[in-house]
Amino acid sequence: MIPHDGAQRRDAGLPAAPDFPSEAEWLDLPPPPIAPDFVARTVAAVLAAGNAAGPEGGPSREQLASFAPPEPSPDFVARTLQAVRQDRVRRWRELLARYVAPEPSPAFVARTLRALADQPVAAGGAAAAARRRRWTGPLLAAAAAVVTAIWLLRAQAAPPLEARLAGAVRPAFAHGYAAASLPGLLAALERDADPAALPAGGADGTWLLLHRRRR
Amino acid sequence: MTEPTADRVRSAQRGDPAAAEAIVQALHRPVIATIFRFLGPRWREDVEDLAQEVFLKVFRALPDFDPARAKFTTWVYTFVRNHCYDVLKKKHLPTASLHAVADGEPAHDVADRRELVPVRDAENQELGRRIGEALALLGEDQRMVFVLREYEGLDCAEIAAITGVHEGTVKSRLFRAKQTMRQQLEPWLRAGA
Repeated sequence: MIPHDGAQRRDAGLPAAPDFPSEAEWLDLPPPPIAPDFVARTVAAVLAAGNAAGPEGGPSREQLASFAPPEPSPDFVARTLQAVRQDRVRRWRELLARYVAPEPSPAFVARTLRALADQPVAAGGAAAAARRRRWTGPLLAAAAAVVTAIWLLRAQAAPPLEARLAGAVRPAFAHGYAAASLPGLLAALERDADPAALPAGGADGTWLLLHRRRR
Repeated sequence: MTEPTADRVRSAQRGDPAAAEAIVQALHRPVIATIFRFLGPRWREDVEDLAQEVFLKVFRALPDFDPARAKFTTWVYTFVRNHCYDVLKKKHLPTASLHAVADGEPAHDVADRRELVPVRDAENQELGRRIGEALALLGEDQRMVFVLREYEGLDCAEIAAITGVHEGTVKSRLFRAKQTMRQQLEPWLRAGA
């Protein structure tokens, strides 16, 4: 304890202390200078004391730290990032799958083709198409039979060869074999290019008659 | 927990792999620690899987994160808290709370405290075990507030944002949690002093 009495201070080798103020002066004494960091130092000291003792006398931070968690695995960060990447890929695929049309299944394709095959192409419906398919064969057979019959009938009614040749030969040559003179006259009229030319069938009474008249 | 910079978070939102790795690198220890301390030592084998699930949820929701609404670490802690609650809900694990004791019923039966004095050479390890047991005795809400405040150093405002309650409720839960912890650990604390 630092003595205040002058004599005791002198004996202790301390410098003389200032006189105590009177009671009246005491109340008017100015406050001592307060350092700017007083509040911060005081709060820090209070907190430090509180931490050392623990909250309200409870375990301190050092004591609480004794309940330590396990050390993370060295590859925890890498494994977590990989899981995050895979999760992101999976969620994107699920999102895209909602908006992408699925591939048609073989059963769907077969069912659709069957439906298209059963569907009628023209008017009349499937029943009319089936009826047409049923009558096509017999009609074709009937037509073939008719054509064959007609051909056979025409073949039977064909004229003899001499008659067909006579019909195919020009009158200019037919008169030579005619019993009357009319074919010869017709052949002569037909010969416009050279009415005086000898007939190819040889001279005969008709030519002579016509030649005499032209002269 | 180290707060990732806003640029890093934005880069991760754009899909930058380096930014994502930096975020996981910065946050994986506190996330694992919080999950372990909240769920308890019997989840030691599963804590990394649970932490990975938390990060999956974080990165799924990352495009929706708005830095104007909350700090990134506060936002991540929300996922940690919700996932821990979901785990407990799925496992239907009972959580005993001293405040759940009805009036007139005897309080939680505590063993003879003379036997709780630890052996000096295993003091720290035993204290850690006892702290884990004391934490397990807390209710879920008190335990989460205590872990976030005393272990992760979050302030009451951040804890209120994470847990979705008022700041006053956070302080109240914290006070009761500290009271319980003090009662459970008093012999150990006296022995340690």
